[in-house]
Amino acid sequence: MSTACTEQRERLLDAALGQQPPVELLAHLRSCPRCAAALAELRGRSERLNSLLPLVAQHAEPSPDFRARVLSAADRRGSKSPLFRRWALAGFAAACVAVAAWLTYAEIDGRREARVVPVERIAHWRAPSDVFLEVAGAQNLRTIPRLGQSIVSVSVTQTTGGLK
Amino acid sequence: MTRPFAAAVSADQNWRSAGPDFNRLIAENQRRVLQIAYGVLGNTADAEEVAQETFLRAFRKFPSLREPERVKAWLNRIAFRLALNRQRASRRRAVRDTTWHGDQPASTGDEAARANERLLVEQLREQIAALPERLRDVLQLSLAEGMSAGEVGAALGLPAATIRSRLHSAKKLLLERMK
Repeated sequence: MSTACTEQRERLLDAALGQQPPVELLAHLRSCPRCAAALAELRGRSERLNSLLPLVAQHAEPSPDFRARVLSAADRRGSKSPLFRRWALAGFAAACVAVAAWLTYAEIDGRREARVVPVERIAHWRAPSDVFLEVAGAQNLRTIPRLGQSIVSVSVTQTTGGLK
Repeated sequence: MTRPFAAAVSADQNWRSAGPDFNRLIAENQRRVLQIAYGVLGNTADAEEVAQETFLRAFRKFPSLREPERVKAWLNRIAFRLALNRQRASRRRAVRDTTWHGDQPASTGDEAARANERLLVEQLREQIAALPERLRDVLQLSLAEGMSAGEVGAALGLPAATIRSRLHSAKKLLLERMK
């Protein structure tokens, strides 16, 4: 096959598939019986291809009960409405978030706990009731007022002087 | 308590007004959807399963599927993708349908001709499977009856001109490989 013939190969295929042959190809075909024969052979192949291609898919037909089966399957799937599914999904997502948050908190708390040395814990231990003493005038609450004294260290006589 | 689907469709006026009747949707599209799946899978049972799954997905989306043309493109696209997924999943155990046309009575001569044709179709299917993906997709989708370049393009998200060009390239490759 000459270089000229090789150059015409693409055009031969295009022409075989029904495209109008360009002038260059027509000129070449007039002078090259080999390419003219190749075009005839390719046209035959093209016809065969066009007759076979539809058979690859088009002989397939849905079975007579196909629609009934789809509707029945849709019935089964449709028993749970999209709204129900959406809420179920939302609930599941919320539960996942809650579990993840709890796990994260537990992890952080566990790490914080592990960092505190037991001795330090004892040193810093305070009775829960101490919290109540940490208020303004806490000192007053630590002393027991004598008879006639106010709990705020102001003598009754001072406040009630006018009664003497 | 849930109503049977057929009753639900006919009774639920909201559904009716939301889109075309689902029952009619199946009737009008089942053949093409099946052929799209069959063009990829080459097996009727698998193709029917894909077609069924396609319509079940349409069933879920049904209230939001309004325009008939878009519904058609949507169905084509889903059927094609599901078929490709199934093909990838079952490539090892690919079983080709060899019983087609078997329901027609035939003389011995016809039988031989049909067997030969079947063989040629199977060879062609193998050649199609060996095409580059971008050409194969276009060709496989266009094999279903009545699929125009515009419809193939709508399913693949490509312009019709690109589809025509790729189809031509695919056929050229097949032509070269044919014996």
